[in-house]
Amino acid sequence: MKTSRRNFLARSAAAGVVSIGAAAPPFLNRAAWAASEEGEKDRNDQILVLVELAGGNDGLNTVVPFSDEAYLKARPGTRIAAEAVLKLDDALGLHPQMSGMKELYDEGLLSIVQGVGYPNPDRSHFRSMDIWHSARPGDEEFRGDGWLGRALDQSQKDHAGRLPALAVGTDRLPRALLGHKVNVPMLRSIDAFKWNNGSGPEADRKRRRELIEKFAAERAAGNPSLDFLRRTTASAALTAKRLGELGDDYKTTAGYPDNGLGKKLKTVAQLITADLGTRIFFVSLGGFDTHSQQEGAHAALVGELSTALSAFCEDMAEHQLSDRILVATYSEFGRRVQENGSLGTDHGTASQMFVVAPKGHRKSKAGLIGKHPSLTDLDPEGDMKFHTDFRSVYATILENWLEFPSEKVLGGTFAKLDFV
Amino acid sequence: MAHLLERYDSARHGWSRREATHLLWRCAAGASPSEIDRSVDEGMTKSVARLIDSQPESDEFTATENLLHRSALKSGNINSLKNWWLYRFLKTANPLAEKMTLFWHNHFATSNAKVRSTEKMDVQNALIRQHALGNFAELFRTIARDVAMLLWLDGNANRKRHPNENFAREVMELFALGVGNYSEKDIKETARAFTGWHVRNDEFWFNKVQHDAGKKTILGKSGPFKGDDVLEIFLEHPACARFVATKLLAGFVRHDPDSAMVDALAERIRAHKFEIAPVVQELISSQVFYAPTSRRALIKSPVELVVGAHRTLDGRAHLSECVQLMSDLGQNLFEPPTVKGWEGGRLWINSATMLQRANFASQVTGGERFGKFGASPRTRGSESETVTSYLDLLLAGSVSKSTHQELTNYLRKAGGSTKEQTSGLVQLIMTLPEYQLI
Amino acid sequence: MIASPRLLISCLLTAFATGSFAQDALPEVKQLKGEPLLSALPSGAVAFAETSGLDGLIAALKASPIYQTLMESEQFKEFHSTEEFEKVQNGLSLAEFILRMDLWEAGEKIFGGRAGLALYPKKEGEQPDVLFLLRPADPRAWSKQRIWTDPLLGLAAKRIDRKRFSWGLKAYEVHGDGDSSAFFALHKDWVAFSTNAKLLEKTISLQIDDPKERTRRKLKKTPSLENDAAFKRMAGMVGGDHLARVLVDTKTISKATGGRLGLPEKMDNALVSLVAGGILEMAAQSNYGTITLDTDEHGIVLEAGFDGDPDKLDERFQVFFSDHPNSGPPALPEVPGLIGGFSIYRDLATWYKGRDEFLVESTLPGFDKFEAGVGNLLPGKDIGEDVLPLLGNSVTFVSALQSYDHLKGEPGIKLPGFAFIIELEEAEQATDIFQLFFQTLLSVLNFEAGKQNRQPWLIDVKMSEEIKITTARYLENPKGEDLSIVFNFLPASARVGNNYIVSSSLELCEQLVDALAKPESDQRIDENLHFEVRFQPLANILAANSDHFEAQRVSEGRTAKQAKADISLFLTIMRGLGAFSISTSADQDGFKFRVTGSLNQAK
Repeated sequence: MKTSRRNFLARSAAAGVVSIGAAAPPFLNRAAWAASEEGEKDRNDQILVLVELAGGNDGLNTVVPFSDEAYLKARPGTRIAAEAVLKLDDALGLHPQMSGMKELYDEGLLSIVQGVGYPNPDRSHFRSMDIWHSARPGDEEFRGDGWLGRALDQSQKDHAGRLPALAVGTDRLPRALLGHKVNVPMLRSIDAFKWNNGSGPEADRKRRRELIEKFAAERAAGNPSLDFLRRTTASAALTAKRLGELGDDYKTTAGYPDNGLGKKLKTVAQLITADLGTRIFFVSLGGFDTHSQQEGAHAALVGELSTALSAFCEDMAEHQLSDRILVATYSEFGRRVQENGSLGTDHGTASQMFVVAPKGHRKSKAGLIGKHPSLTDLDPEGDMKFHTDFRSVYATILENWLEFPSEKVLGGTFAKLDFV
Repeated sequence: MAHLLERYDSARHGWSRREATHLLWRCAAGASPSEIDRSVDEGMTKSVARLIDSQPESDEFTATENLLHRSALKSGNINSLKNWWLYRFLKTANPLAEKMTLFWHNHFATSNAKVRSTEKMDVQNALIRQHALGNFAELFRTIARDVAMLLWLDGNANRKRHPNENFAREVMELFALGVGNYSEKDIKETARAFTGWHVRNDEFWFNKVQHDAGKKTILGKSGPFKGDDVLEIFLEHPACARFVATKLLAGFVRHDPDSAMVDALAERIRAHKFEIAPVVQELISSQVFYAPTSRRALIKSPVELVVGAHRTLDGRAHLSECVQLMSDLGQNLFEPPTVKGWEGGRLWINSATMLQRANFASQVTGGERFGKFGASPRTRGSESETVTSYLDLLLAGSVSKSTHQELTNYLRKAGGSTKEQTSGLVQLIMTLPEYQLI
Repeated sequence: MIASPRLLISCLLTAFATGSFAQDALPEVKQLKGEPLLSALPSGAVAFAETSGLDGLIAALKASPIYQTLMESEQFKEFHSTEEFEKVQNGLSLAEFILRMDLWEAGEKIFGGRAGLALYPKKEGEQPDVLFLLRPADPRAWSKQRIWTDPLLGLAAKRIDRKRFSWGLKAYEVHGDGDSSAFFALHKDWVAFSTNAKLLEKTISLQIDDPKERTRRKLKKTPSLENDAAFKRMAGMVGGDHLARVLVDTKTISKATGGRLGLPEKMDNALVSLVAGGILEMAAQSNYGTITLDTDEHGIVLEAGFDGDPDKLDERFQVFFSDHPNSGPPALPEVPGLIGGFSIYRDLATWYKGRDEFLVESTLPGFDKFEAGVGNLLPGKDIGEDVLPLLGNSVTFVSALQSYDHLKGEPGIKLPGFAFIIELEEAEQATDIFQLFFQTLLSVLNFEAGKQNRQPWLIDVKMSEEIKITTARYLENPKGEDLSIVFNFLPASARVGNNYIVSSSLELCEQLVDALAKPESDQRIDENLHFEVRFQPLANILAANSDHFEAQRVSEGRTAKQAKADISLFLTIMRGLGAFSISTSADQDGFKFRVTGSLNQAK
C-alpha cells in the first residue's frame, strides 16, 4: 500500500508532536531513522504466506481426475463423483467443497502445481515434513535450519530487533523458519502484541507509556548493545501502537469463516495491514491424516482451506494489498492411489501445491502447471511418481517473488516454474 | 594476553556496590539489597568464594524442592520438572552452581521434545549438576553415555554396517571442538568409533556386535578406537579448551570475546586440567571481568530476567506462569530448539519478545500473575532520592541525568496510592532498555 | 434490572434499619404472619420468589463444623491480614453499628420471617418492575432502631405523600440514575419496596384487611397474586411450606421474549443436546416453572420443575424420555469404594441418527471427525450402521477406588477405576463387535507402549462365576514405586445378560459383574438421569495424590508448609461433606429436577 508509508510518517510525526511537546527533536530523529529502515524494505515489499496442510493431504481427492478409469477403479468407496466436482477442464475438477478456490482459479489468480515431490520419498510424517522444512532430502536428520531460515540468514547481515517472519497460531516454531541469525517469534493472536500498561490511575499509565517511548528514542553512544535494545524497544512500541490502532479499526467485509484457519488468516491479514516489515507468514492446518472414513473429515478440511483462503484473498484485495501477497500451500506427502479397507487412504507420495499470486507478476497464464501424475505408471510401492521437485517451487518463490538468491539456500539450482 | 586474566585489584580499583552488583548479577542473575550489602562488606575474595564454595541449603528449600521434584517425577510431567528447576534458581543458596548447570545444559543441549521422558531428562540434569562446577572432562565423558543424550542423537541408529553420523558430528561440532576444527573424514571415522554405543532397557549398553572394531584415523591419530578413546582424543586437542573458553567468556564476560581472551582462558583451562571451579573463580576475579567494557555488556536471557526480578524484588514466584513466560521469550527449559542450544545474546530480542519483557515488567509491578513481589515503598525523603534508591536496586545506578530527571518528574506528578506510585516507578525502570543488560 | 443496584442496597439497608414509627393511632394491619405472601402482593407478576424461616438455616450454618473449621484455619488467619479483608471488615462493622446488633443476629431476625420478591412486566424491551415485601418474624425487635435511622433516611430519600400516609406508615422516593426512581414504604410490621409507585400503592392496599380503613386512606381494593390462575396453580403444585420457593410464569415470559423462553430450536453443543435436549424443549414449551429449597435430616434439597407432558412434544423428542414407569435407567451399582457416576436413559442410536434435527449445522463436521477416529478402532465397520443399532436405551458410568494388584508397586498419580455399563439391544451380535473394538484398542495401545518402552499387554480371559471377563495382563508385571500414570489402567470387559461392561480396571469389572448378577440390579429407577458424587471416597483419592496438589500450590507461590496446610484444609472440608446428587425425571405432570446435598453423617 503506497500510501501506508506516508500515512505512517504523518501519523507518527503528529502523534510525536502531541505527546512529547518540547522534546520534539529526539522523536523526529526516531521517525527519520524508522523511515530510512522503511526505505530499505521499500524495495522488497513482497510477502509470502505459507499454509502448511499437516498430516498428508489426499491430493487425488482435492484435484480430482474424475473421469480417469484408474481413479474410479482405485477409489470405489471414497471417490468424488464426476457430477459433484467443480470442473477445471475436461479431466480435472476441484473437490465440491472448494468453491472459493474455484473462483480464484476462474479469476486467474490460482495456480495448481501438480506432481510435486522429491526423490526417494519418505512416508513418515516427521521425516517427510522435516524434508519439506529443510529442503534437504538427502539429509538423514534435520540439521537445525530450514529453507526460509537460511534465506533470511543470507538476506540480511543482522536481523536482531526486526521481525522478518512470523509464525501465527502454531504451538512450536516451524522448522522451516529456523535460522542461525534470526529468531522468528510465534504469535498466538494479535493480543500478544498488546502493550500492558500496568495498574494505577489512567493518566499515570499514559504518562508511563509516553516516557518509555521517549527513552527508547535516545541514542546511546558507545554502547552498541544498549543502542540495539533501545531501537528494538522503539520498534516494539511502534508495533504495539499500530496493531492497537488497527485492532480496533480493523474492518473487513470479507466473510472469514468461523474456523481455525479462518481466524489465523484473519490475524495474518491484520498483521500485514499493520505494515510491520514482516515478509514471511506461516500458518498451519492439521488433521489431514485420513486413514479411515475419510469422506466427511477430508471434505471439512478442504472446505476450511477454501473458505479461509478465499476470504483472505478478498480481504487483501479490499485493502489493495493483493499485488504484494503470494500464498502457497504444501503438505508433507499425498496419499496412496488405492483406497484402504476402512474407506480411507494411507501415506503416499506426490501431490499438488496451490499458489495464489497476483496477476501482474505472471509470466504465463495461471492455472494447471505440469501434468497430473499418471495413475497407472506408479512407483514400486504403488504410489504416484513426482515430476516436479518441490525445491523448484521453492526456488521460484525465493527468486521470482522474495528476490532472495536461491542457490545457497537450496544447495543447488532448480528449474523455476511459471506461476509467478 | 595473560594480563587480561590477572586478578582484579579491588583494593586499588574499588569494591563498591557497582562491582558487587556486577558480580552477583552475572553469577546469580540477581540479588537482594542485603546480599549486595553483604558482598560489599566481605570484599571480592570472600564474595567469590561464597559463590564458588558449596553453601548449605535451608530446610525450607530442601523440603520444597523435594516436594516439587517428587511430584514431577511421579507425574512424569516435564512442565512440573521445569517448575522445579525454576524454583531451584530462585531460592538456592548456590546460584552459581545452578547457572553452570543451565550453562552446560545449553552446551550439551538435549531436548525432551524427542527424548519424551521426564525421568531421563532429570537423570541428565542431575548428572550435569553434579559436574557443573566440577571437571569438564568428567562431565564430557559421562554425558556421552547418558541415555537421554543417546536417544536425542540417535545413538541406536549407529551401527557397524550403517554408521549414523549424527552423534559424531554433534559431539565434534557442538560439544568438543567447534566448527572448522575437523574434516568430514574425521566425522566419518568418529562415527565408526561410536558404533555400538546403544541404549537398551533404558540403560547405556555397549553393543559389541554392532561395533566397528577396525582401525580409524581421527584428527591425525590412528588406532582401533572405541568411543571412550575418541573422547580422550578430543579432550587433548587444543581446540577443545579453546571451545570451552569461548563459551565461558560468552557466558560471563562479553557476547563476542576476542581471540586473545579466548587463548588466555584456554591456557588456564588446560593448566587446571579442565577443573571448572578454579577457572571460573579466576575468571570472575579477573580484570577483564570487571573492565568497563565488560559491564552492562550481556543481554539478559529469559531465565536471568525472571530470576533476576524475583531475587531483586524479593518475590514469591508463580512458577508455572514464569516458566511459560520464559518459554514464550525463547528459553524453554529442557527443550532447547535444536542441539545447538540457545544462541542467546541479541537473538533473545525482537519486537515481540521486547514487548513481552515490557509486559512482564508491568505485570510484575501491577498484578500478581507472576507472583507476589515485595517491592515495598521506599519513600525515603524526596522523589529524587526515591528514584535514586530504586535505580540503585534495579540497575546498579547508572542512567543518564536526563533519565533520572524524567523519572523524578514522573514520580512527582503520579497519583494514586503510594503503592501505585512506586509500582509505576518500578515498572518504568524495569522497562528501560538498560534493565535488559546485565 | 434496577437502575442502580447500589441504590437498591442502600435503600434496603436503611429500610431494614427502621422500625416502627413513634406515631400513635396505628391502624390495624392484616396479620399476615404465617400466611403465604401470595395474598400480600398484587396480581400480574411473571415471577415470584419467597423465603420463609431461613433463620434455622443460618443458625445451622454458623454452628456447622465446616464453618468452624474455616474460621479457625491458618488460611483464614492469613486472609485476616490482607487489605481486602480490612475493607470488608470495615463495611461489616459499619453495618453492625447501624443495626445495633450482630450481623448473624440481624440475619436470623430478618430472614426468620417471610420475604417475597416479584417481577412485573413492563412494555416490551423494558426491564421488568420489581416489588419486594419483607415481613420480619419479630418486628418489635428492631423497632428501636428508628431513632438512628430517621435522620439517615431524611438524607437519602424524599418523603412523599405525607398527608396520605401519615398513619404509622411512611413512604419514600429515592432518585436513581437518570429518570429512574425507587419507592419504599415502611410500617412497623413490614417493609415494601418497588421500582413502580403504583405497584407500591397496590401492595400497601393489600396489607390492609379492613375495607373501611382502605377507603379512609384512599386506597383501592386490588386483586392479589393469589387470584392469578397461574400462580395459584403453581403454589398448589409445590405447597407453601418451603425454605424458599420460586414460581415463574414461563408462558407469559415466553410470549414476551419471542417464544420458547429464548431457547434455540437447535443446539450448538452436542453434549448439552444429548443430556438436556428433551428437558430444554419441555422448558421452552412450558407454562409454569417452579423451584423449591428445603432441608431434611440429611441436608439440602433443591427441586425445580416445569409443567408439561413429554408425550405431547414433537415426535423426535421422544428419544429423550422413557416410558414410565419402570423403564428408567438402572441405579448406580453399589460397588465398594464407589465415588460416583451417572445413569442416563437415552435412545442413543436414534438420537445419533437424527442428530441433525437437534444440532446446528456447524457441529455436524465434528461427528465426521469422531467417526473417522473411532473408525480406526472398528476396522471395516460403520458406526451408524453397525454399532448403534446394537445399543439399548441406557448407559451407566461409575467410578470407584481401585487397588493395584496388577502391579508390583503403584503408579505415581493414582486414579480411580472407571467403567461404562451399556445396555444392549442385540446382546449376541454386540459382544462380537465390542470384542473387536477391545482387541483393536489393545493392539493400538501396545504399539504406543512399544514406542515408549513399556510393558505390552496380552489378552487374557478370567471367569467370575459363569461370566467371562475379557481382560489383559502384562507380559511382566511392572515394578516400581512411581510408575507412569498409564499403569492405572488395565482394561476389562464383560457381558452380563443384556449389559456390556467396559472398564479401566479388572477389579472394578469383577465387582460390577457381581453387582449386576444380583436380581436387584434389574430394577429401574424412576428417573431420566441420575448423577451422584460421594465425598468420602473422593476425598480418599484426592488425598492419595496430595503431594501433587501441594506441588501445584507451591508452584503458584505458596511455601511448602502453606501448601500442605491448604490441601489439608481442603480435604478436611471435603470430608465434612456427605454426598451430592442430581436427578431428573419427566412424566405427564411435567419435568422435575432434584438436587440434594448432605453433610457427612458419620461420626
